[in-house]
Amino acid sequence: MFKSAMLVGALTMTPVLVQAAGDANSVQAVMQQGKDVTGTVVDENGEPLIGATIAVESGVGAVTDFDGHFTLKNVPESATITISYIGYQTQKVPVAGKSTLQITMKPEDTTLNDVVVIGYGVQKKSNVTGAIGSIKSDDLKNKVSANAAEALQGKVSGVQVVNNSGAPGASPTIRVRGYSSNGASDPLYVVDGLKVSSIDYLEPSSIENIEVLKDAASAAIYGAEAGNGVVLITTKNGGKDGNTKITFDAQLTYSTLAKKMDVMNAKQFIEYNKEAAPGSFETMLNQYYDGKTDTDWQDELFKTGVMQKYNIGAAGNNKNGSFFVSLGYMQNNGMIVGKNDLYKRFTAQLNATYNIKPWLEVGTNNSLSYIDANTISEGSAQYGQMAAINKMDPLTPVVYSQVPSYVQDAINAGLHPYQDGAGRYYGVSWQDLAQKNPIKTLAKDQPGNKAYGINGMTFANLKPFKGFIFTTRLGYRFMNLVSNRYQESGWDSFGNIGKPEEERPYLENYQHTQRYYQWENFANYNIETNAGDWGIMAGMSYSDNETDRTYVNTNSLTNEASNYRFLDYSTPAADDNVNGYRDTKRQIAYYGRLSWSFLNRYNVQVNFRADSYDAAYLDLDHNWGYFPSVSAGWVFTEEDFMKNAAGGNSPLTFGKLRISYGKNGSISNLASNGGYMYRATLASGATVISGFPISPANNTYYMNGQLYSGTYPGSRLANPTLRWEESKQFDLGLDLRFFNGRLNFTMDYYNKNTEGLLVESVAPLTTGADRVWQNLGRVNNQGFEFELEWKDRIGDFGYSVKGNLATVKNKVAEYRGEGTRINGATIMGGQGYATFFEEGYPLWYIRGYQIDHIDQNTGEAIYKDLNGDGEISDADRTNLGKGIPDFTYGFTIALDYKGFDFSVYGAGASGSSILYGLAGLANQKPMFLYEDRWTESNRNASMPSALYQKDQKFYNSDAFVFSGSFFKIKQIQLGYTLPKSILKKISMDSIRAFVSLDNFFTFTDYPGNDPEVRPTDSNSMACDFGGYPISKSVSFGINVGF
Amino acid sequence: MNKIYKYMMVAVAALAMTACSESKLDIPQRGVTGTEVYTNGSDEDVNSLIAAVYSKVHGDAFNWYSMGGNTTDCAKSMRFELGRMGGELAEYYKYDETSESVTYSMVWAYYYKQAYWCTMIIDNVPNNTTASEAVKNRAVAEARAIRAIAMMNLVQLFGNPPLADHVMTGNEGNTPAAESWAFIESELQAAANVLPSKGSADGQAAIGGRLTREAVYAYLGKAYLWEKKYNEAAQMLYNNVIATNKYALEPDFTALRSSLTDFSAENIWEYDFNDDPANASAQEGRFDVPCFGLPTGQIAVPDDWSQSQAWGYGAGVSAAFGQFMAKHDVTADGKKSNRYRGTLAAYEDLLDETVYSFSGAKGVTGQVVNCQGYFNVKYQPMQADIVGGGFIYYQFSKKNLVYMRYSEVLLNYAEAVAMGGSQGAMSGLEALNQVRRRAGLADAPALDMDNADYGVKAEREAELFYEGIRFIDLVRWGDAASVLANSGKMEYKFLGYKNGDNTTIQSPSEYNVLETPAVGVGFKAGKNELFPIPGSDINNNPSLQQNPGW
Repeated sequence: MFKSAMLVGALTMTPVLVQAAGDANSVQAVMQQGKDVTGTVVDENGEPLIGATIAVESGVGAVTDFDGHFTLKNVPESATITISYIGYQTQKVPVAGKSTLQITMKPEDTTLNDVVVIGYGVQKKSNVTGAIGSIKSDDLKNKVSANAAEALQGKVSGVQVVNNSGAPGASPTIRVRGYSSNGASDPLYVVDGLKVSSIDYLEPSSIENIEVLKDAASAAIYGAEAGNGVVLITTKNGGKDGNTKITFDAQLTYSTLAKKMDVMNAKQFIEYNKEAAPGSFETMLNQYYDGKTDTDWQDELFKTGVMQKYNIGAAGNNKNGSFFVSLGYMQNNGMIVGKNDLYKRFTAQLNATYNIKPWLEVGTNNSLSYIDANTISEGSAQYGQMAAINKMDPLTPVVYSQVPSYVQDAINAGLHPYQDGAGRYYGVSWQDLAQKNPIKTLAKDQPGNKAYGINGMTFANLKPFKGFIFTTRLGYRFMNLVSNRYQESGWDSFGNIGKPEEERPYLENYQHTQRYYQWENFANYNIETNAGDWGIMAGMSYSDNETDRTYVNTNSLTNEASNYRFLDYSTPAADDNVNGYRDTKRQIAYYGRLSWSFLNRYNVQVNFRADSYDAAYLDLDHNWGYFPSVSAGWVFTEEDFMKNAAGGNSPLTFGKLRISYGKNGSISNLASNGGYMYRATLASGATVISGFPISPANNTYYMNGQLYSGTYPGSRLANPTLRWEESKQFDLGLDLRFFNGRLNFTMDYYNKNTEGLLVESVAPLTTGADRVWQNLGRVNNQGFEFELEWKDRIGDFGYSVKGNLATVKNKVAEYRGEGTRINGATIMGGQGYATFFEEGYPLWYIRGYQIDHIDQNTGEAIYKDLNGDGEISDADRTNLGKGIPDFTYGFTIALDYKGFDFSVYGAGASGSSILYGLAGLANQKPMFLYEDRWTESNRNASMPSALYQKDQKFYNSDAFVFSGSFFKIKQIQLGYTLPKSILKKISMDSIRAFVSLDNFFTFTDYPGNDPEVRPTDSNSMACDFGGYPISKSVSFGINVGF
Repeated sequence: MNKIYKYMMVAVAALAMTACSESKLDIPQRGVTGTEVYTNGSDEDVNSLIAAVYSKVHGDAFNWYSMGGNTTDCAKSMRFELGRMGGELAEYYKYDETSESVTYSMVWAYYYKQAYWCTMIIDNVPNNTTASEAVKNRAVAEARAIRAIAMMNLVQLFGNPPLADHVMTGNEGNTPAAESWAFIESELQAAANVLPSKGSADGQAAIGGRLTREAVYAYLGKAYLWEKKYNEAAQMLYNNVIATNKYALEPDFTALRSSLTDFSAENIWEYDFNDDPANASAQEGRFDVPCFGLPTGQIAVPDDWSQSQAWGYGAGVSAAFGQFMAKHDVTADGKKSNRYRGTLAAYEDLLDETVYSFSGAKGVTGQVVNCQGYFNVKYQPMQADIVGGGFIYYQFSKKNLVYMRYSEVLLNYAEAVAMGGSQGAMSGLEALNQVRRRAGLADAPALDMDNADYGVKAEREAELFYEGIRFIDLVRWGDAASVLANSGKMEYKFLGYKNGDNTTIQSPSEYNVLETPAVGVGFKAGKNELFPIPGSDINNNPSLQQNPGW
């Protein structure tokens, strides 16, 4: 059932230049009776098909030449000729006495013969019994984005792409069928069999296809790591059709801020703060404000970003082997002003296979990458550099044209306020003492991150006898991250008036090296018997991951000139800090699969995997997990009663019912923070507070005449019974194809229960520990997924409409009863926690106060007293919304006409809520707090007065909760492909030029930058903590093939 | 291909699948010691265990700072929070906080963490077969005392918290306060029976920053006072502390600020910062100096104070307390008392060169937040005491942090007597007057609780400023609701004098104080007497009952 020849069908989605295998004139005519017949074979666009095979029943044959012509000698008048061409429906044409024939080929409905990659093997799509979403290189090739993961958005139902940031080089998070884990809900990524934690290093044009294993049965072969779905990526290979090909792609993209955050201008800011801080604000205003500055920090910060992308590739093959090589360069100068928002990526893909012996095939797939990134620190989003943009007040200028007295005072005191290249001093906020000028911060911060990586897989396939393939393969990753960050010394904020000697530069150097390998051995044995086709697979996997980390910083250099910004020039007086470690992680797994296919009608598949992990993950007494699954498919259209339905002309050409059940695990959260989360440990001596240039030794004490380095229980509560999360999922699916594949419909229902979620929470504080990891409760995700596609061609006009819709109903099904809840995320300005994990509610729902009304006389917000005790207390907080949308959807419309192609692609989500989490600590506020606030003249307001906005309950109220529903036109693209007739003259295979508008139209009521930008952590998925907004962009590109 | 090769290949394949040994999975955790140290560690190991506890009691202001200045993870930030709650500081507590407010959970966790670390020692170290009995017994007794003191603080602040007499599971319900008090009493008594006694009035240096028998008795006396067992309190404090003659008040109150009074006869229990600069890097990172020092960026500080950059948490004394001290702490000749000088400075004091010297500029240079023109002197680090690296993060003050002073013992005794406890050979009035005399005040004519000039309450307010007593005193006396009714309704910034001349002494009525309404609600009777049990513990533990009103 694993027919490798089928792979060819999948690979030739684009018209491929097929060289004529022989001149039609030279074809030996065997039969001398009859007459000569000539003809032309063209494709659906009227372009000649080269190399199509023409056969006469008698065995005479020909192949079309470069112009699609063929000649057949001595063909009987009554003969019928057969025209076949890979990827097209084979036609039978009666000669009927004609001497010239014009034959137009129709593309074959190849979809059912496509093979899908299913992990340690491939499977014919018609035999698939699980829920697998698929993206082909066609879907990827027109993507403007530099990241492969984004291609999945709106394309595969049930796959949600969450953008954590719009920064150059930022990678989105993929969520398969809702959220079922608390920490990272990331799916497992497997590239050519290699497990990787991120696919940022891949150039999208090197990708052949992406499969998303959504249901548990499909994913079960990846066992303990598959609980959040599996994304399988196959890179391109050299094909099998005997042809060579060279491609070149170039793209230029201009991006700008898609939507500005609406914040107060100077006049509004002054008005608001006079009310919020009566008296005191005005006093300071009179003392410090120049009376005219009105800085729009977003305008100052966001300019036009430019991305350039180039890619050149070559592919070739012969009967013994194939190769694919590509080189790519991408440079994305993001929309933030200055040079610190620049991401450069060099990639190379080197894939080759060779049949050394009839029984031995060797091959290798390698991705090389070098990434040079100067990126904005989004760090903790609420406090990072990006957040400053919306927090900085408008009364401070970017730079001073005239130095105000309070800055002059600092200069006179020997301090060094930062200056720009022209020697002007950067503005320092007098209004918000701790706030730093974001433009200054960016200009004076010199990040430099470089990442070098090799990801690859080298394999050998042994085929000692028919049907048996033993694969041994070594996957590897070598990665080095180097960061060299430098911050100039100087005085940067009004609240930080210190002494000149306390102005220090800051230089940090960070090295992170990873060496990962996985060795896998597995055998596939396929036999065909009278009782059906059987496939057996069994194998093992061993992986070993070693990381080395070194971190050094210093705050004093012999010289601050740019050629001294290295650790060598740290002075002896520097307070420097050195730390580092080596970590090793290992894993052993055994897995197997048994599949049975009978009469192309009945398919059954059983998977099993046993996984074990090292002591960092789990106590070695319970470190094995077992993950079985079973699935079945019934192609009911193969049944006689269906075949005969409607007189054999039923529009339903294919129908399949699928059912599956399986168990998966989720392990990634078990090894966070170095792992050993189950263990009671003692700590000793220093507590390193990372990210800060000191290494305090906080637990020493001087007794008995000596300094003791204290030994004490670790801050984490031991939990020896800790285990992985387990999800059990049921899937029922239906695939229907009508009108020979013109209409496709797929539907799935799934019900997924994740038990024993790994939750790191605040330990019960009475235990004296800080944190505890527990397996808690059960989360249920269930929903429907629909995919519908219609494609057709009317003469030269081809069109297709594709849409998908997925619903998710998510809730915590079990956790110690309602009223017992775990704290999740906090927001700035809010008091305590904003999101919670509680039985009967959606995962990490927003819990807060409801504003009943605004007191018309005072402007105070009156909250609803839900428990009616006359007090507003914690008990009056209630469910205000959730971060998970009720449904997500996407559609693609593609049109083509005589070389022009046009596509529109949109995606949206509905039913989620967003907690606007940025307003709290800053003096600058979003417009909705200003516009709708109570004032003496606006007593019917929906927001409290500026003064009562300081009430801490306010930030935990529904005033900050908005609908997160949105719809975005993600892409509008117009392309033109030169006709073959012109290309032929210049010996080219294809030239396509395109212009694309991306993320241009967003429909949402959300007042923040972008309803899609969310934090990575599950417990804050409902919160907007700011971050680099998504840009809208215009792109121009060209794709050339030789 | 030969059949034999084929079978060999299959055999190799089968072999390859079983090539990995599970022993590879046993990877030791870096930087971590197993809990067996409790039971098999050496004398030095056991000392390291109790050293960590002592260190934890002092805690870590770094955490406090990095969390945004509103959490409590060290003894000093405890005092800061309780100072705010007791209205001693210009940054008043707002009393609009909810049970999820970080302060409460940090206070709660601060004490329970100490209790946990102590319990681990108490439960396990007696089974240790390697260390000597003397070392073990002393460490266990210290752990019992510190755990009892932690429980006492928890009961004082939270009412009926779960009793941490075992390694807690987090599922425990409330323990009635009386039960906890009984535990506290018996544990302190048991610890005192084992701990070494202080040799003489200057004997603390020999013991260092470890607990003595007398210190534990001082805490036991305090426990009796809170339990209103006035007779037991008076007897305990007199017989086991005062009458030992091992304690005395430092003659000059202002000297209490300096490391010169480390291990002085006045200190009952203190955290020992080792003075050796060689140990600076190991004691760095406490962050006390930058956290609690006067905000040097906004106001010039006198020459002998720490010149390091600081943010000034707790630096702004409330006007109410400043005015109280100006009235209460006046010497017979009408001057500000020695204790006043050692406790706070009004702005005019800071400008007065007969009191403080400045080699550079003086006065306010910026906006001093949470300040009404009065400054905390008591906990200003002195320049002479700064040890460690050039940069503030690496500096600390070698001045020991005193947890309990003898003057508190005398005042506890005076109060116990005033409330009906029978006095020992020294009268309650004499105890009060010893404190007053040292402060520079005239003797009280009588032992009285409420007299505004010489009563015990006023004396405690003046003497124990910023020592973490005021708030629980007010609650204990039932005075909190009236004293703190308007707490937190305003926020203050001090900008010097109204006419902008910030270096010439003018009257306090000329202070330029920016007042901003703060949406505080003030202390609410029936609710704010007790802290709320942190929301996270209530939410996640059905058997734990929240305090009333929260």
